[in-house]
Amino acid sequence: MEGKNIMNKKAQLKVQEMAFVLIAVMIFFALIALFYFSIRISSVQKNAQELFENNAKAITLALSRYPELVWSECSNCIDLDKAIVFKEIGNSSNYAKKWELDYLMIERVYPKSQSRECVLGTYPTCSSLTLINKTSSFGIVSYSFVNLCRYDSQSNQQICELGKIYASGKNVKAGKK
Amino acid sequence: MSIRNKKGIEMSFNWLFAIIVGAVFIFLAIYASTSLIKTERQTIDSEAAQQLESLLNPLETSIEVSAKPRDIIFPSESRVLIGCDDSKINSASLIRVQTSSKLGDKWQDAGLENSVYSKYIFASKINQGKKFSSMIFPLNMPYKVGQIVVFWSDQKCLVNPPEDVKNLFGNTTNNIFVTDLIGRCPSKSQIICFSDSDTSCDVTVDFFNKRVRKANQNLFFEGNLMYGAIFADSDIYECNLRRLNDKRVYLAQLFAHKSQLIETTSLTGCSRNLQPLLLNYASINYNTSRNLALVSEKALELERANDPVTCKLWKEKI
Repeated sequence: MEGKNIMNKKAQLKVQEMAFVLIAVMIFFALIALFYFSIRISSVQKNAQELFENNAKAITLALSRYPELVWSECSNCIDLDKAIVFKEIGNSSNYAKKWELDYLMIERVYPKSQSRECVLGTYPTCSSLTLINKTSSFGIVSYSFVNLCRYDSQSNQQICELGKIYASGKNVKAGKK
Repeated sequence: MSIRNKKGIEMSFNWLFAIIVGAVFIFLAIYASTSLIKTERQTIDSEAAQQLESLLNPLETSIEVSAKPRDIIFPSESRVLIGCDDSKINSASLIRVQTSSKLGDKWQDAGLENSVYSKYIFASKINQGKKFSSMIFPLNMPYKVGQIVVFWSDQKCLVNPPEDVKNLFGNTTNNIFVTDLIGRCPSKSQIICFSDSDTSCDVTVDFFNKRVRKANQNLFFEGNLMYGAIFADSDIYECNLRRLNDKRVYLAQLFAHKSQLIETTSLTGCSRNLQPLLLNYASINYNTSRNLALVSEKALELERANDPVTCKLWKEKI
């Protein structure tokens, strides 16, 4: 009888031992899975960010050909009249989603003008025109040089000046929040 | 004897437990690895769809010139699934990629959908192969409305095309074969007839009625939309046309506001006369390509009104 009890206890001990080993193995695999997924998620986020940044770069180069902004007399020219109307009346914020940009700004580089934001009241004596400013924590900003053209009704001629387009792709981490 | 045999098949609890737990572990490991492979493939396909959009960006055309055909080569046989969403808020061309694999199922679910808002992709719904070709055309109605991106993977045979089409595709190897006789078309190629309608023609282009006939359906076109009608499935064509219509209306309103802006500082009023025409043009809508001719007529009217103005609102020509 006593011998049987000892055997039972031994078996119970073995089962407990097995259960502990099993739990330890499960924890070990869970840790490996956690480690793998954290690396994988950060790598996917990095790739997505890179793709959005590449897209932003491509957009800065192609923006001067978009119908909303194109000045058709020369290549790489932006119609500033159209751009200000696009900002003020054309509901440009809706395009933030469509162009997958967090930030888009046109800056007049030369000749220098009064350093202020372009709105209908200050146009054309202004220096920058922010079309999209979706978030304060946007990613890397890429830029490209463009010609900013407009019709000057006083001199009755077209004027083209040197400008820059700044654009930043969608921030993947900020978007997650 | 029999007692011994019974002893022989006895298994200790340890063994039983190890076999059951081991089997569960092996099953879980196989399940996890197949799921991981599936997820990896979907990630790769989703990234490929994004990259495809970036690849199409440098192809944007300048003002009046069509870009030359360009090849996009995938590392393995792939499917590019093209869709179209013409809803007001999410109007976009949709791209999904499915890459083939030698492990497991050859084709699994496609990666995540990539919505391309600024382009109008005219293509078949399913394009399969390793080499894909694309070409971009500007669409002016009468101002630039957008870019027509035609995308294809299967071989096309153009029979008796007009000179300008021949020049555009004639010297390229982008899965396009140009010939004067249907009989010379490579087998399995899609036959596109320009001057005569034969029963073996898959697509017939009727310049007189500005109509492309394919799969017993008529697609009406104006200008460069002809290429869209030839290369796209009919519902993709009609859907993109509705998207282009929305953009045309939006731009007409933008030009009307631009004209008002210039007018405020101008002594002569500049393009003031164009404002009612633009607003009228913005009020015309079409739902199918059948109504395209009416819009085209109005666009010509608008072009004629813009031509003599000193401060032209746009310089593009139809």
